[in-house]
Amino acid sequence: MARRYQVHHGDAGFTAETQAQGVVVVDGVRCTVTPWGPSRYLVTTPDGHVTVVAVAGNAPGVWACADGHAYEFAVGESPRARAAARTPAGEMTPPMPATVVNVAVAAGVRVEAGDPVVILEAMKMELTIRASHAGIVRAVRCAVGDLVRPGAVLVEIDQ
Amino acid sequence: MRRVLIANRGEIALRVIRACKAARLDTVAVYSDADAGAPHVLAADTAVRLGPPPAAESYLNVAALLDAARHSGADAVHPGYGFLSERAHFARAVEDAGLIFIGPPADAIERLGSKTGARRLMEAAGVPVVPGVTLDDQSDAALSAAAAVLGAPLLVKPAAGGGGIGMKTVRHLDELAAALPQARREAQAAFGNATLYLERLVDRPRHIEVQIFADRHGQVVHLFERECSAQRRHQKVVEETPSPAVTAAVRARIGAAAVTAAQTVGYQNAGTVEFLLEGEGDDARFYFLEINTRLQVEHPITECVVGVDLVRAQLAVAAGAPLPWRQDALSQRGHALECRIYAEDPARGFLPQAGPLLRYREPAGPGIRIDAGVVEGGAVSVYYDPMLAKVVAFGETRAHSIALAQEALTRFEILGVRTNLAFLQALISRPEFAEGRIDTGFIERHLAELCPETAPVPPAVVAAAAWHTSLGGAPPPDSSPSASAGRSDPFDTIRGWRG
Repeated sequence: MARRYQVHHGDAGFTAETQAQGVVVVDGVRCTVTPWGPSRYLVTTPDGHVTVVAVAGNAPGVWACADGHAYEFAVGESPRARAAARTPAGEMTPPMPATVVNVAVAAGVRVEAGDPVVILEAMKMELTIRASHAGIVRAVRCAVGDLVRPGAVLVEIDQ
Repeated sequence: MRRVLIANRGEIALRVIRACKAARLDTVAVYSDADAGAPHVLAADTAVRLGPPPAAESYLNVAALLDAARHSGADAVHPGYGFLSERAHFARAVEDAGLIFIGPPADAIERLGSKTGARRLMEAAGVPVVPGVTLDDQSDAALSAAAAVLGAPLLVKPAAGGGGIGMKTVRHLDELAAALPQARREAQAAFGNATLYLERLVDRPRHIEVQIFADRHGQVVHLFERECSAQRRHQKVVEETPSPAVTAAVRARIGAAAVTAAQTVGYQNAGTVEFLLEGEGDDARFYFLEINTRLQVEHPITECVVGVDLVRAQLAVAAGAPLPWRQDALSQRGHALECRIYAEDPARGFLPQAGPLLRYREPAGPGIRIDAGVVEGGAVSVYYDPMLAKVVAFGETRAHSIALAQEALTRFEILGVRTNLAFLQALISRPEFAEGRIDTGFIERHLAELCPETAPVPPAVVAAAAWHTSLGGAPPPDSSPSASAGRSDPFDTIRGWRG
């Protein structure tokens, strides 16, 4: 039985319909998928080109690579759900687990877009978290020495 | 020497363990809680836990390492690179415990550990150095005054540093005020010493380093140069040997200078003398930068081209044997290129990445050597350097090894964490790289072209991802009517995922 998937990559979205015998139609392009070793596939496109694609991960987070390029997909995820998962505007969050080495602002202070607000250190490198927009700092939610993770709100800035 | 403790982790620990096994030596691995079950732990004959994941409590914990050596009956310690490899106090503690330190004597590390001290030694020995300023007065005012005399552009460097950490480029003197506190902070955090020194920035230099080796019996040889000009923020990305920029005449001069540098400090074991090269042809000038008192990350390219095993020689020389080579018997054959694979995101400022290695499949074939420290099913932790593997290509000519490396990078499959594979591919495919016209600023100047924002996704890749999902997400045969109805709805099929 055919199934339809929404496959997202960054801001790009694709519709893929899986059919019998390895046929997958991607936005109207008919591809044929043949297993080729563990979690590796040979994919033939209508122009006769064959691509070796390795795939890993559990939906919705599916990774694939071909010809030395890796892609991270969100499979079956609705655009609405994705938007909600993003960090709300006005909250600064670390891009990776890191240690806070300096907090450059305090609650009530006015910042301009691009001003450094928090300096983190991870893997022997300093990372500067900058204000995404101008505004008044509503709250500082971290302190020097804290180990912080992505998703943790470091500083809130009023719009 | 019978049993060697490897005071390191990852690919270099595995590299040393292999050399020990080939030399019929017992091996002792050490690990932090983040590395229990890591490849280097499984590869060694025995393994000893050091402590919690942070390096300060594990791989940098001298007392724990010495306890591990005593407990396991090790009689020698190999420090690898990074961590404690260039800390004189560690080498001394190992020696004081009656163990063999597989590296240079502690006092040689000490004399070369301070960049300012090393500069003075080399100047006195007649090895050319970059014009620079060393100050006892480390106040902002004194450093600013010295910078004004030296002139911009200049570099602010931690005196105790290495690997580009804490190093700041000051293009205009008014940038100095901002650079000093940050450089001090990073120097203090990384090296426990905030002393800075200032140096004239040699514009568009090439990074040329010379592998040296010395034994206890006064013999010193060099094993030719490596070029490491492909750097990003002073971190090497791609290294090669022979250098396309070094002529036979310059090679003879720079090799002799490196041997002089080693003799000046009573060096022993493997080391690397780093130089900046300015200008072209036989007239190119080189300046001493520093001596790295350890095995280098990029040592395999020298092993390929010179036909030696540097770790094997380290073990032999540390045990008291004479150097296994004579200078006049050493020569270069072919060309080797190393690409460092990092878990990092080139599209987001090369941020280090951590996560599970859902898939990790290395390329293989003639002329390809992979030195790696990870396995599929393992994870990249946030605690340590995010280098995953080194791809070393060895060809008959430079063009040959570049082509071998391109092919290997294309076939490397790493999923679960973002890597710099595509960035490396773009870099070594540049015409400037093919022509051997790369200076240490090349990557920074061409960053936008080397890290394309978003590459279009081929439909074939989307098809495979969808097909793979459909295989794993099939509902069980006895599924309830509601689940069957869900077959037409992709969001229900996700729920039926069985991994």
